[in-house]
Amino acid sequence: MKFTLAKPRYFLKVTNFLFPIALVLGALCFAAGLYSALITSPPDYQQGDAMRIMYIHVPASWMALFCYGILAVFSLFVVVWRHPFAEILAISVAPIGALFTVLSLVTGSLWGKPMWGTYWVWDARLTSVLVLLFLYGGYWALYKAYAHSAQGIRAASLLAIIGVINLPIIKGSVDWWNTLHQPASLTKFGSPSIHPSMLLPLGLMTAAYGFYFLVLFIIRARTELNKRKLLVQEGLS
Amino acid sequence: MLDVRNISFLPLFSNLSFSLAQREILLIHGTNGAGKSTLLRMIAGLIQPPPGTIFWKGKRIQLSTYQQNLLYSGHSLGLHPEALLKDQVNLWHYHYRVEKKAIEEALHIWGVAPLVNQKTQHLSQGQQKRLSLSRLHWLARPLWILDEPHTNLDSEGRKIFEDSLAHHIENEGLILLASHEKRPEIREICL
Amino acid sequence: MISRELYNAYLHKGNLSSTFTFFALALFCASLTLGPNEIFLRQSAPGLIWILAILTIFFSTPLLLKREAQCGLLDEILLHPSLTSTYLLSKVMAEYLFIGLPLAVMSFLLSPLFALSSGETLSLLLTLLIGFPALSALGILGSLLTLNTQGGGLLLSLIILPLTLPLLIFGLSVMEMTQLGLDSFPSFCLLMGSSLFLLILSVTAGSWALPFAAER
Repeated sequence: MKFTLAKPRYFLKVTNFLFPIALVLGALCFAAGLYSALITSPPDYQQGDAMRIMYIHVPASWMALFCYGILAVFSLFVVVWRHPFAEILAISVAPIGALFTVLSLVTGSLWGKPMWGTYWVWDARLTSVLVLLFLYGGYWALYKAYAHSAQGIRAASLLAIIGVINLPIIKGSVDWWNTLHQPASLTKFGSPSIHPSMLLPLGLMTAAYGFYFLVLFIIRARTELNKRKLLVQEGLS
Repeated sequence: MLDVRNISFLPLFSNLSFSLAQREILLIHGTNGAGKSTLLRMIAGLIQPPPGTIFWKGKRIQLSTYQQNLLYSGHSLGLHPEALLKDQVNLWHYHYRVEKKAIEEALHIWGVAPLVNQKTQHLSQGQQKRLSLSRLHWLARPLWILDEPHTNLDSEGRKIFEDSLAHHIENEGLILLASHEKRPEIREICL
Repeated sequence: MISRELYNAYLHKGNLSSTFTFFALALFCASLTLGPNEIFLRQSAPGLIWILAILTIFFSTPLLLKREAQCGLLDEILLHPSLTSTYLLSKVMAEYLFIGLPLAVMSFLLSPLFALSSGETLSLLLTLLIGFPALSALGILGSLLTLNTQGGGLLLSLIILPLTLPLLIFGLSVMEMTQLGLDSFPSFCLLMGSSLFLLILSVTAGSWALPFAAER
């Protein structure tokens, strides 16, 4: 009875209620966020208008990390308690996380071109985001390589858990490594506080990303749930 | 001695219960794909059995101690892919801590002793099966779990096999056998 | 268990020759494509040797383990009373002796191809020797995870290579320090630390993956 809340029936009930709210709020936040990010917020005094890409880039990076975090939590449930519903949730969250990672990398390098004069720098933060993408890729490849998805998800979950332990080491090691090459890597916010006029669009965009994630996540989880139901029904008939 | 209660592995079998006493043989019978091997692997603990389904001497099993009571012979024969027959004897010696003497005697009984300098993978299927089944003689375990032990054995091999079964039963052993062949003299459950 | 694994690895000796030939040939081709520029050769040598050593291990381990599993040897391991982590550690040790050491010796012998000085060769040898236990353990973990797939070495590299990055980074920073004539001791310590950590991590994960791999 430990996992009553995690039963598909409750999930469907809750998401039936949540889905339209997330959809509407997400659209509103996105519109408002884009408006304030592109039009009302002031340009950066050093970087000019180019820094406006930050409002797309930074929330994407946050979401990429956040998705990996919950993927690891679900994976833990799969590995330790073999909870079948956690499998569905883990499979649903992984590609969304990969999507945010790609978005973060692409916008990051587009931002890098005018700022640093190049699309790619072997900076600690960039490298660890790239490794994050590889971890997502490995997770998915391993899951897909199994003929039985029930086996695949267990193998992939273990990989995801190892990845989360390894992620800080990779970041740390890259930091160490880079002290040789680039003494000062570029930090995204030089000063500790950002002006409120920039904080507002950033917050709105982050909320929009969050709701977008929720919408995608609910759709994917329901699709996966239905797929399994179908398989069971085919098995019975 | 061995009690199996309400064991399930969907969609193959569910809520299966049986028990096996000393001096008893039980035949698990079923068509191909009915789940015989899966059931045996579960009872051997090679597939994690659901907790509280297997009891040994009346107690819930603790997997690694329970496994010291059983001899499992599955579809794959457990012969090293690169070994000569004598290397295989050495490997068994290191793995099971059994005297090489005992293994060599068993090889004599099974009639594969003259092949010591052959690669095990180059032997015929029947010879490999005999080599693998020789463990019935050198590994002293009360519970035998044998998955399709007759395959590829010729009539002489079968004779040796049946003799060892009878001998084991006399010595208070328990035998769990999976086969698609009917054997009217043995108690059976059908999957 | 240790003697069993050592003997088991010894029985595989026939398969290992192709592993070593692959490593030697790949190193030779790599040095050939880089051209005769000595400075360039020296700078790129450590990275190349490390990557090729990793790939050699990651491609040979799953082959051996898969054959053993098909023959039912993993079942016997699971029925054995000793802990799965004992088995994995013995396997790492056996692989270290039968694959790791020869590979390190070979890269030592082939270092003239890359115009490395004796000091550089020595520290390269040391970094390889420190890194190999973790690499073997990661290779075994990856083989167990991919055992029931058709992926083989390719899939293994795909999922495990990101995890080897700390080793690569610290190993190469040792080499860089040596080439610049700086003190490479801190990097050595970091390399040892991360090697030990990855060894423990993959043995822990592997003892979970072993019963899973045997389930088929």
